[in-house]
Amino acid sequence: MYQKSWVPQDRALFNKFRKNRKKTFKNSNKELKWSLMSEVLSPEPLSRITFTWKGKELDGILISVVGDKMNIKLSNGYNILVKPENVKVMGKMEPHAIRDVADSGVKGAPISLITTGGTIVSRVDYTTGAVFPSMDIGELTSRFRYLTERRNIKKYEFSNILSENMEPDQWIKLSKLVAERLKNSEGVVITHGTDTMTYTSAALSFMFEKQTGPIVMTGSQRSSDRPSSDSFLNLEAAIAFASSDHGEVGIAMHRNSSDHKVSFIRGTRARKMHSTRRDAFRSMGEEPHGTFDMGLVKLSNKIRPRDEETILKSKLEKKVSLIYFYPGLETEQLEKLLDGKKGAVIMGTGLGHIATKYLQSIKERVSEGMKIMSATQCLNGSVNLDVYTTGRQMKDAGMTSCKNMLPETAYVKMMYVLGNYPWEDFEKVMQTNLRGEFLERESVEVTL
Amino acid sequence: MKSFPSNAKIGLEVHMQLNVGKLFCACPEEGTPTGYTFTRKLHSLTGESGTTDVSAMYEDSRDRTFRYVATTNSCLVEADDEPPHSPNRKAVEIALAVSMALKASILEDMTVMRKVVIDGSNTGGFQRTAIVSMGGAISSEECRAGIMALSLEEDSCRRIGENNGFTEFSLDRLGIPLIEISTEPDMKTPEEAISIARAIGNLTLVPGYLRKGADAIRQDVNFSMGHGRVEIKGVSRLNFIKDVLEKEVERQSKLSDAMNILKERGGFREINFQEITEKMKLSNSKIVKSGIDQGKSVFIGRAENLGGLMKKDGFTLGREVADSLKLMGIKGILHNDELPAYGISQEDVNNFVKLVEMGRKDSFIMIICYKDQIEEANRNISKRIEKFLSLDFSETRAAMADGTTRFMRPLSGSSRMYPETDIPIFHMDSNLLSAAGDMIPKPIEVASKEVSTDYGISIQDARVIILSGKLDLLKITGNHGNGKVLARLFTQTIPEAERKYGKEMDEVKLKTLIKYCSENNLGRYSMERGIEELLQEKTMDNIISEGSLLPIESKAIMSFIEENNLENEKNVGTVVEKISSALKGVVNPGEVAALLKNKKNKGSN
Repeated sequence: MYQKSWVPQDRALFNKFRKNRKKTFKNSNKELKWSLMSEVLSPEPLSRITFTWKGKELDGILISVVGDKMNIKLSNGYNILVKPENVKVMGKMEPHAIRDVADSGVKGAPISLITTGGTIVSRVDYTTGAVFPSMDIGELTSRFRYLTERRNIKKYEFSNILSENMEPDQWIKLSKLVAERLKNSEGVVITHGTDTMTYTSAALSFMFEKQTGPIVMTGSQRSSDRPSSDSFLNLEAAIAFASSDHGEVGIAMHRNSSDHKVSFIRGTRARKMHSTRRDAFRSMGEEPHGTFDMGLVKLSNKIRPRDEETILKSKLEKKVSLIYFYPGLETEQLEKLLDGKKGAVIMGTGLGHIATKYLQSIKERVSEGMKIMSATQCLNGSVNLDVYTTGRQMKDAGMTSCKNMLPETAYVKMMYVLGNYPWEDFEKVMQTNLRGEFLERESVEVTL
Repeated sequence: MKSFPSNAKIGLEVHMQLNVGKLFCACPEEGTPTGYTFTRKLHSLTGESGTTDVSAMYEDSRDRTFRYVATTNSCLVEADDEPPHSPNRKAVEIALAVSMALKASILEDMTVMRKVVIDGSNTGGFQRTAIVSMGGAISSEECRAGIMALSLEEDSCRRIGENNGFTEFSLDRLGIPLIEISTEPDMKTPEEAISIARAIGNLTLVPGYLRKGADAIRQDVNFSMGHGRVEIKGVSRLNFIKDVLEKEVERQSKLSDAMNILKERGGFREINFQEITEKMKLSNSKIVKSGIDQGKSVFIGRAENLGGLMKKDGFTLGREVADSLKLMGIKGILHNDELPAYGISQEDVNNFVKLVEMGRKDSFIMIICYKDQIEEANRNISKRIEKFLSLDFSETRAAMADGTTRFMRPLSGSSRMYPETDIPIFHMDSNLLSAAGDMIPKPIEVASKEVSTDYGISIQDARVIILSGKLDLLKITGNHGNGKVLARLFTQTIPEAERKYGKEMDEVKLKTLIKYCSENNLGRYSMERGIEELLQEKTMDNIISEGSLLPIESKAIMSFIEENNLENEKNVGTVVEKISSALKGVVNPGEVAALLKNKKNKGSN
């Protein structure tokens, strides 16, 4: 049975956990009414207590103190938030045990698993009841017990932040860790929060000019604190894609709502198209590079092979803006967003159009050397600045077209090109299909 | 059945579906399949206290895939592809109102919890549930029972069945709000339990909060007679409570008798299984053959001191033991007390007896399973028999259609509960509490008196209408003196017609019929005809377009009587029958009688 493989919890983590608890407890304690003070000062969170509430004698575990109330887990498992009386501490309960299954004993070239935080490693904060990024890499493997039994997985904790807090500096640091790990691994898996995963995947796609193995990003849309989480299958598939023979950067996420198929989407063509569904990640305008179906990986024949060596160009020009045009955007606002930048991608409407009132300012900026490009808010289809007068005027003002590059990808590519190529090559490199960011042809059969 | 044991303790958990839409999304409570399906797997996790629930682990060890059938009343929330919305305020109001009726202590804040259930019946792998109030009591004519807690929870998926190796569920029921009332174990007899269950049901039925439908009220029964608590799931009908409890008493008595004999003989010793697959390859037994064909092995071992106990006086310890293997996918065991049978001959049995060196007091157990399962199977058998030997019979059992119960899983503990992180703690504000105050369900006596006065019907009829959940139909017609007609319809006509056609009247169709009749001033005879026609599978649209419920005009009746020389027919019934079969429409016998009388009078003039 499973219980046998449980081992005593990680002491260090436990202490950290306990310290946090104390902190919360102390802070909220200040707000306690003095009448309750004498009773509640003694119990710490995770104490077993007996108490009375409205004349009923009850027992449970103190989870947290919230204002003048206590969040108590009753012996039947329910939490209640009440003002208890006659609180007595009966003992202390052993907190969260973490099962360590790190040592799988499987031989062979390892897969490196890099965690960066996000839903896939998030867990419940029982004090506030919210989901927070997990501190502990052991937590991840204790959850995914099937994985380590099959592959030799080496784990690295990169950071522990929600993906909305990821910055270009972190992409650079991450790329260096990935390059380092590629030296000794068959492939690399990166767990990442889903919100900005496509920015990071685009950044890694460009920064790795050559790579000796797969770089696979994955995450989860439905938190891993629920038995139905998509993280189990996503991570399993990501490890399978990272063990396959290719040299691409891509994202492994659910193909549809069912738990059986996972897509491998090119890092520069991926987009999160739904806020909550597990099949939110779509391959925009092209079929995914690969599928994981019932344990088997199928790859497209267009996939890049492994390179002999890894070449990382990790410089990024951070003075680049991504700007969303909307009716009513004031010229002064746009000016402010452009101030101090070396380049900007403006997401225009339809074919890439923006209001002509900005064109004078844009012309001035371009003449000062700023690179300003147009992408489309439609996400599907290409920018074309030749069809309408507005487009031609935008061209005359010095703007260029991102064609069918996704706006976020274009933004990241601009940072990459400005950071790594000579100034005079900018136009040429931006218009070259480096990592499959452009669709050469768009098929009528691809659904939106 | 002998008298019920005096140390029996019975507690109830009554679940009542509400008719106010779903609890955590905007879907209605009724719907039909859309044709879209999806599949999921569920994994057990550690709970808040760091332990994994034992019943959840049982399910996880089975690595199953579940298929879900989407319905017109399901959305991304049911598919677990969207976080739950804030709790349905109307459902919360009802839960508060019922709490007030029970004089329970209401919690100022409601903390929604996740109760881990990974048998597939919930897409998320948990059921959302929250305590609304604690304490209070309910009384019936038979007894009084304390209330432990009243919770508001979401209903689970409806199980459709097994299909292509998947367990299939429908999403139509998932998320319907349930009020769960759990009582203290204050009842001592099945009769008391039934009366309390009925009283609890009336709390939502009488004020009309209960959803219509066969499974709108379901109860679990907690029972103990000194051998630990047994939780019996899915005791659907009220009268079933008695059957189930009496059979459970019988089972536990016989089980404890068997254990006492086993103890006297010297107790239980772990079985030493040996493989006999090769020897069994030529067996004529279908069970053995099909097992071997599936790549399984046959094992046999001596069960010391269990001779004659595996099947005794209608009680099969063999089945109780086999139940511990069910969750491993092992369908059953064979043992000495039931053989020769299943294609296994006396000769085979004799060989087995020799092979395992079976003594006079012993039995043997045969298991057909995969080779790597036998150790765990043996451990489970030992664990189960040893638990029985300590006279601890506590577990979760499921009620079967014949009133017996089967082992479902070990009792689940508190470690399967953790907070629902997507829903902040919900404060019971003063608006909710005052709305609830106006909605407190009235006792049936009070309610029937009110209905009796409002609709001009007898208190008895009012009571029957309320308890059959048809009060809302009475309300459709408004207070137009139709009460008596409808009371007759609900209490006599419909039950009689349902018996005649062997079918249940569809509530929605009945509603349309009553609405149509009351809008068109059609009386008793039209409604009766309508009910007959609906039970004959006619649709309301058909009935309306045919005009078969409209009264036959007096002129037409007169000319029919004249044409057929019925003026002197003494039996009005015969005339009515002839008119009904010849003319389209409804005929009022009173009217025919009056016309005949009139005619005669004229004739004699």
